[in-house]
Amino acid sequence: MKIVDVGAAVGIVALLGWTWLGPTLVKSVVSDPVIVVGSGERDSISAPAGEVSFVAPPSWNKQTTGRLGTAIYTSGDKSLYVEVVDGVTDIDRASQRRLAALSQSGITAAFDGAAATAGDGFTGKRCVAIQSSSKSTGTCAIVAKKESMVSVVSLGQSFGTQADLQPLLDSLELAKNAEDGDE
Amino acid sequence: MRSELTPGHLGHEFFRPDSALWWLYCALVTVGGIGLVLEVGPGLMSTSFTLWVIAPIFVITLVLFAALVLVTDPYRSRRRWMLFAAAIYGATVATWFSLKANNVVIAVVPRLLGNTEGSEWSAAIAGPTTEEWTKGIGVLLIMLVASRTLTRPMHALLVGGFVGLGFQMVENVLYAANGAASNVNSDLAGALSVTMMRSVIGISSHWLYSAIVGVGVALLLGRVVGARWGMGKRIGGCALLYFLGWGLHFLWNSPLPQNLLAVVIMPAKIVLSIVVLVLVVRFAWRQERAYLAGAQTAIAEGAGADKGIELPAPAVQTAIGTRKERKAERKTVKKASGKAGRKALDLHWRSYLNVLQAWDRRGTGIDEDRWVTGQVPLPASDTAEALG
Repeated sequence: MKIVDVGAAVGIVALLGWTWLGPTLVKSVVSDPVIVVGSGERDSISAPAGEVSFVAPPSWNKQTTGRLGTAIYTSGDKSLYVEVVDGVTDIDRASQRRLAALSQSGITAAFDGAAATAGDGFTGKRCVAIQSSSKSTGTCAIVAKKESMVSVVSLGQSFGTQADLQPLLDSLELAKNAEDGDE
Repeated sequence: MRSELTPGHLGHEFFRPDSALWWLYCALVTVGGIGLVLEVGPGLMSTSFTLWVIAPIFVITLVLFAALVLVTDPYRSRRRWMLFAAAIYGATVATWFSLKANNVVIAVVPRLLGNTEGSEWSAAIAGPTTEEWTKGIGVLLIMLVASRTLTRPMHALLVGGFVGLGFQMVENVLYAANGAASNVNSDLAGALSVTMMRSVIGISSHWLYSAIVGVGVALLLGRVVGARWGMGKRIGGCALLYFLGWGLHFLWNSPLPQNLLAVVIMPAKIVLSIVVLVLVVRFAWRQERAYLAGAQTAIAEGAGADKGIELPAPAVQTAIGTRKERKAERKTVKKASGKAGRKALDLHWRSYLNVLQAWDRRGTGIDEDRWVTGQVPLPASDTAEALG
């Protein structure tokens, strides 16, 4: 049996391959902008129920994530993830679900029994975290205030070198309009 | 010669192992299907209970939107096997390739626009760019595999609609799983809210964009009725329709303002999408009527070795009329013969359109049985009396 349409089939493969190849070529020529966090500089994450602001570690690089609600900072092999979600109705249940969500994103975490305190009335729990893809370990905290919940994860490849979470937690602030809206 | 074909010579428009395109389709669906399972399987497993609970909504949505696509086909141009193949392609190949490519685009956009703007606009840029492309290539592949039977813009519109529908259904499941996993309160609340929303607004979603792009693919391939289109016109027509599909998708994915304006803007996007689709469908219908009129004349006068055949009553011939003419005819028949008469007319129309559609497939080895048996099932010429 003679096979026909070989040229057309090759053309389709090339066109389909372009779906991934085109953006990959663009990505290779567009460098990731380096955004260095200034000393004392406040950053913020918007979520439908309100904006949460905080002070990220100075001199760390802020990464582009492409996701609203998430900020990532790096310094060498250390990384710091901050994520804001809202619509929380049951804080304990939501905290457990945030751990599960972290696990789905590749960070396995478990509460260590310690309470987490943070600025502006945010309270919650401390946890430990492992990211096997980067062979990193570290600490984390999940804190909440009203409907907003913030997850902060600090990872590093060397034990004990991770960034301290507490300064960032202490700097947390829920935007005024979010608080007004809830009252 | 056509009239010498027997059922033993009948071919299949999809099962074509002599074509590298058919093998490519099979390979892509296999790779895409496996790739998709590996990519999203763990996420689906972790929320599987919730997904099963809301599965009836997925099924109802699928049936409703499949019916909606077929509503655009009053002249019965549908080729069931090809629509099924289209939906499978959309659900596997287009979804998997788009997922992979979207990850890259979503990483690139914030680099170009900055983190905040990039995050807000990445879905608007990534979605249409990768998804309309992969779905459009699916339409092209299927139109090439079935080049003997998918010969007009209406065929491409339906194939596009079903590629998009397959894509849309898988995306609904993935969004539901994602909604379940990311909701802070419960799996069901997250999955249900996303699924209900997507089921309602799905009226102007992937099936619609791909139907529009599909007609563009037909133009590119020169699958038009009447005078041949030059290469420039074909490319121009394809580009216009591709960018219409892309533009509507971009508009839909664009961020909404965080205020009351969103309540107005979202319905406006849906209305605009439907208006564009109606314009494209009207073009496809005009093309289809031109073909049907030609087929009717050819059948009446006889062509090649076939003898002319007496056409059915004018009431039945109205099957190939405009929407307005068909509506008026149904109204007249209903007035004269009641609902039973109207139903009888619908059946005659259906039968007549099937015959006219099959006329185009003479000589392809597909559906030849309509012609080789010598029993062309045209409704009788005294149908008008039967209809009262």
